[in-house]
Amino acid sequence: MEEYRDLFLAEARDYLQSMTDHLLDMERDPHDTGHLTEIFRSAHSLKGMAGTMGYELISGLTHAMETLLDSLRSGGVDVEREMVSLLFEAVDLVQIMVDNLDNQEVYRDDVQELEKKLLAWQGKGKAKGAAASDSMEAAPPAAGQPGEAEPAPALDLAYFHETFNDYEKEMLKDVLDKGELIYHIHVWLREGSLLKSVRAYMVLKALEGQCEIIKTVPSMQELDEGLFERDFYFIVVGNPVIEEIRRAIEGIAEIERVEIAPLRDLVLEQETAAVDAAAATAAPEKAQDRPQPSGTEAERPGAELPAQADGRAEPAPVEAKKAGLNAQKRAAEKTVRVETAKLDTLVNLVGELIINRTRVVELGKMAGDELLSASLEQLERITTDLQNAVMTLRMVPIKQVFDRFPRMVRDLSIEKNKGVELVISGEETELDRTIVNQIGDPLVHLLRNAVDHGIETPEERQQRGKNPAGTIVLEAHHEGSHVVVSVSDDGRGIDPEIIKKKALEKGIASRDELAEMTADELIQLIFRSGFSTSSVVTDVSGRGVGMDVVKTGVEALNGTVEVKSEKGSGTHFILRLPLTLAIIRTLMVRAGNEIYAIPIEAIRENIFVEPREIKTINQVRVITLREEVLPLNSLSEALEMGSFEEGREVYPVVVVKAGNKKAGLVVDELLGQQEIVIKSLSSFINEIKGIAGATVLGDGRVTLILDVASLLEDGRVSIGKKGSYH
Amino acid sequence: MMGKSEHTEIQMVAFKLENEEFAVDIQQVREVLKMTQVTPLPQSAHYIEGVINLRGEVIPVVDLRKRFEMPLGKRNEQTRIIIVEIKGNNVGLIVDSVTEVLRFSASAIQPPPTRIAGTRTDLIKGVGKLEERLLIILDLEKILTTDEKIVLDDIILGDKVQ
Repeated sequence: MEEYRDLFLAEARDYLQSMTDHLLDMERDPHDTGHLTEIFRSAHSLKGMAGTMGYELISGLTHAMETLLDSLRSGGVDVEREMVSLLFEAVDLVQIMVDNLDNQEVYRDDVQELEKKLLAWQGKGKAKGAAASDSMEAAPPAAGQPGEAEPAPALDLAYFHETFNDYEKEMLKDVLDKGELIYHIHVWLREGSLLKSVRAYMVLKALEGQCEIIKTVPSMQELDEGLFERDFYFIVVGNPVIEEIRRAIEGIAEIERVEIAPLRDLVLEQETAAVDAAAATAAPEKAQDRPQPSGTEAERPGAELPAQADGRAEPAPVEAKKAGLNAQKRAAEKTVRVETAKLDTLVNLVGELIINRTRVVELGKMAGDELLSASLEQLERITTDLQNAVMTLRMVPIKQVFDRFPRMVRDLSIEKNKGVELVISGEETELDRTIVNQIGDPLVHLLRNAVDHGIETPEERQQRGKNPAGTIVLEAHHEGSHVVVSVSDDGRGIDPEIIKKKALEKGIASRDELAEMTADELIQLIFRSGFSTSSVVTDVSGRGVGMDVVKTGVEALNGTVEVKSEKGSGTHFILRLPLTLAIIRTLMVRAGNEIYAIPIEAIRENIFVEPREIKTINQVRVITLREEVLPLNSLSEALEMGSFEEGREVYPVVVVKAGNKKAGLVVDELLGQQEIVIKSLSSFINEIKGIAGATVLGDGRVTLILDVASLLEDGRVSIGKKGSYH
Repeated sequence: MMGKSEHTEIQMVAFKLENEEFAVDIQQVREVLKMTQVTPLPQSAHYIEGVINLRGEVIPVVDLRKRFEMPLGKRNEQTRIIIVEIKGNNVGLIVDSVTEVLRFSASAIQPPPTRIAGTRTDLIKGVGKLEERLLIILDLEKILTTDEKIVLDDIILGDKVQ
């Protein structure tokens, strides 16, 4: 059983996510029963899986959910916010148990309590519409599928024996044992239908994902070739929603009629009959008075079709089953779940390969052999392709993070009594797994802020002539080698005057400094640590941690964050993130005896400075660069590895920038750009300010990668901002 | 490793700093390298020499002489880096030389003497006796994960042990 655990975990999470999504949709649009159907299906599948795995608490709770959902479906209960919240509560509890499979017992009381609540709600509905929900509770969900109003065609044992061979009979029994259901679906095409095979194909296609087709009569191949009169039938297993299947099939052009009948009882009957030897003789007799599934007796080719099927009894069913299975599985087989550790190893190996390639190519150039150069060029191209291909393996859609936000925003907006609509787009945008894993927290913070501080109360909005419900747009898209994620709201925006007051209060900037700042510069102050604009501390945001957390989080990913806001009309946060963290472009510089790699992202420009341009103000060396005062720092000095070397003819300077901080780093030599593979420093070494990691160069040497943000943050480097320095 | 039976043999990698002989359990040693190029790490503990590249892995290297506040010796042909595993991390130790791999029977290893004035017996795991030689078996985990200053005299027992 243990080996199925991972599978269970993965699938359970998918189902839970699906339930969350559809619950939100259902709440928004209670009339669209499709959502309810999806939720029901997920709950049902989850129940089945949990049951198989022996997780009785999960299966019990999902069963209670299912019961309530069933009343919903039959119209006995209406969609109400409280009820959706209750279902969410159940989803959460299942999630918790799924996350703590080994300690499920701890939650037994919670489960029982919640089950009671779910059933109580369902009971409420029953009292309300006693008649409507009547059929719901006693019967198992499947037998009591709503919409099965039409009398099921009474298929009998003779039909059963004609249709199925022994192997299939066994299989059907297994299916029932597993708690799945079996249906006989009979489809009639309109008279004179031309594209029979296409219609048949569309019918089968309509069932895909709903249930598994185990047999068709005539065979799949004959259906494909259009070798049938007007009707065909097939046997499906699973837990389909009959009404939906019916609707789907009826929606197909040129379909005249569909009849769906459960075979459960027949299979059970056959089972007992098989034990009873007399049944063998009884069957043919019964065949005489076998009632036809409908009044159109003549149209049902009772005699011909089974015969036809019989003739091919051996190959056809197996074929059909296979085909059905294949159709089902095809979608799943497009992806393979791989351990992330294996992916990381692969990425590392390719990194090594790239490093060594660089070296080999260098050596090749030195040798000056033409043939060698040509093959090396080829090698270079292939390895670059390989690198790109491997990098995409690590890419995952940002959907993984976005998925949890609709729920979060819903709960928050209810809590805050605000109407908020979250619009998500670009969730298919892919970026590095590591980044996706770490971008969640900053985004949570931004969204919470938007709901809590950004969006006004409905009354306030109405006064201002806005839609009482606010809108938050979460969006992601590619932009060159970056992914841009933005969070915008149409709320009250940031008031620069309030920022000014706060900044002064908290001692973040002096009155003079503030006076010089433009509105935009003032707004950027929210990223300073210790800044929290809300005067009321709530548990939603403003728990003493401010936007600086967002900024630190994003910068740790080599990204940047920007804010634009207009008072009264909203706030717009733009996060710019690298596609991948594993490989970055850097400028290699030499400082003293050491070589350092500076991420290109952090570099504004490289300049050469002559000593006469350098002035000293307050013991800080500065130059004037395009009317801006730029402090200069020796890189060696900043890293405490050496000191500023006086008396050189010219100093190469790398102008670096992080946020709104800027500084010139004086180095000894600029060595050129290089793509490098980032390796973390051993956890044995404490974090070193100013160093982001290390890389191994082509010659095997280890080179340190500068962390410009932390270098400028640390205070060891004199930094300048627009028009000022300190 | 001290708790094993009398007959258990323990293999130790023996190395030297100045004139003192030390040993570490071979199970803890991943490999022994000749001195190689070390990239210095800014702003780290003074005894961290820097980082090296071991087949693509970036590994920190500690100069044991610096760790024990000993005068710096000349790096030469004999200088070695012993790669040891500490709490799942590979760490290199620069030593004057690696002498040999020794087999000790469990009985030849004595637990650290408990009370000798001026010694830090908590930093050693035991003392290995081999004929006339005394090898100090270091508790590398303690030595490398504490920030305390440790001087050589704290740990060498010299002739204080019988």
